[in-house]
Amino acid sequence: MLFLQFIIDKTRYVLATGSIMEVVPLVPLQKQPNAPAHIAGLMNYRGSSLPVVDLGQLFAGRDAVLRLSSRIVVVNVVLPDQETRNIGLLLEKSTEILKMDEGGFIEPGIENSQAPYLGKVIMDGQGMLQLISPENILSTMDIELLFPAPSGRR
Amino acid sequence: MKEETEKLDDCWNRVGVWAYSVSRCERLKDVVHCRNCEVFIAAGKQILERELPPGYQQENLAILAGTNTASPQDCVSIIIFRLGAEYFSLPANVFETVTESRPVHRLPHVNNPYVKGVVNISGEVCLCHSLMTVLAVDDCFDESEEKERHAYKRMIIVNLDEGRYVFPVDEVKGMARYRPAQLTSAPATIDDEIHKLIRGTFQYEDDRVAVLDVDGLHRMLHVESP
Repeated sequence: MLFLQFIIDKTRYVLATGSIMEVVPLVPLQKQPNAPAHIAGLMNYRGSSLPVVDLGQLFAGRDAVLRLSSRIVVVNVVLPDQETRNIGLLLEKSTEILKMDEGGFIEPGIENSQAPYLGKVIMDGQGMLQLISPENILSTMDIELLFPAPSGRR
Repeated sequence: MKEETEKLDDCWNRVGVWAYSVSRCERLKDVVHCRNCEVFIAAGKQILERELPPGYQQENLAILAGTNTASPQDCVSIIIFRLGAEYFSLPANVFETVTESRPVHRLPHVNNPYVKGVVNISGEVCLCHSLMTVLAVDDCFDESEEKERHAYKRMIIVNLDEGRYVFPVDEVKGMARYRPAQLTSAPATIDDEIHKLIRGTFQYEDDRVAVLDVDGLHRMLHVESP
């Protein structure tokens, strides 16, 4: 299976390419005042407005460093109400696609309820890689903020 | 941030293949050339750690804001190859490999007109079929022109419905994508049998490319096989 690697503060993470719609270069984002810090803003994605989550904020508590290797990855997530939506993830140092055996991933042995998006880990020559599940990146609060349910449905 | 501003050690110029010095890097014994070396590869990736050039984000905005017509999922990936003077294509997912042309050993007493013989594909003996005969393409192409264009004869190995087929082709042009809506049906002047094998044609750069029907081709070759 193929995985997109990205590095935040020397820690390596991977995203399964199956959930990735498109990897796009950086674009100016429409900042959202008063939104949580990890909501980097909205981007114009082919004419539709796409919320972008800053993984630098989420993983390291600071804005993602904007370099040529920083990219926005458009992923498909299934929300708790079974609706499929696209969100953008702002990544740092994502320059590599890795080919790894899916069976090599093992349980990390720690369950962090604060970070449900951290998944299984895999070892390689350079250390450890942790799988990120985009489904769990948005907290319930984020979902209500970004994809408000139309009135009357709740 | 500090490590990124550190000056790069250009060991490839110091003790690598581009160095004038006599002492050579130990790693060269294993990797032969600097371009195979992890250090060189890592240094190359550092290029992507540069600051954003001015106007970079705005430039991308213009590209991404454009209402894209088709999402990549609507498109079909194909590999285009040439037989004689005509271009054909098969879906990219049926391709196993493309190799250089290999000698075909003719099989005596095989009356199947489509079978050219057997060919050695990385140690495995495979039946080699002639798409040219199947599709009744004339082999009247000016070879001198081919040399000028640096076109090389290849063999394509494809998996059609669990059956492995080897076809010699005159040139593999590369990969392309088309939208099913782009397809127009093949000219009615061609033979009925062959017409069934062609799903349609589309314009790719300067040429008209015919998209072959995988199932049809498999059925035709499979039935005819001894």
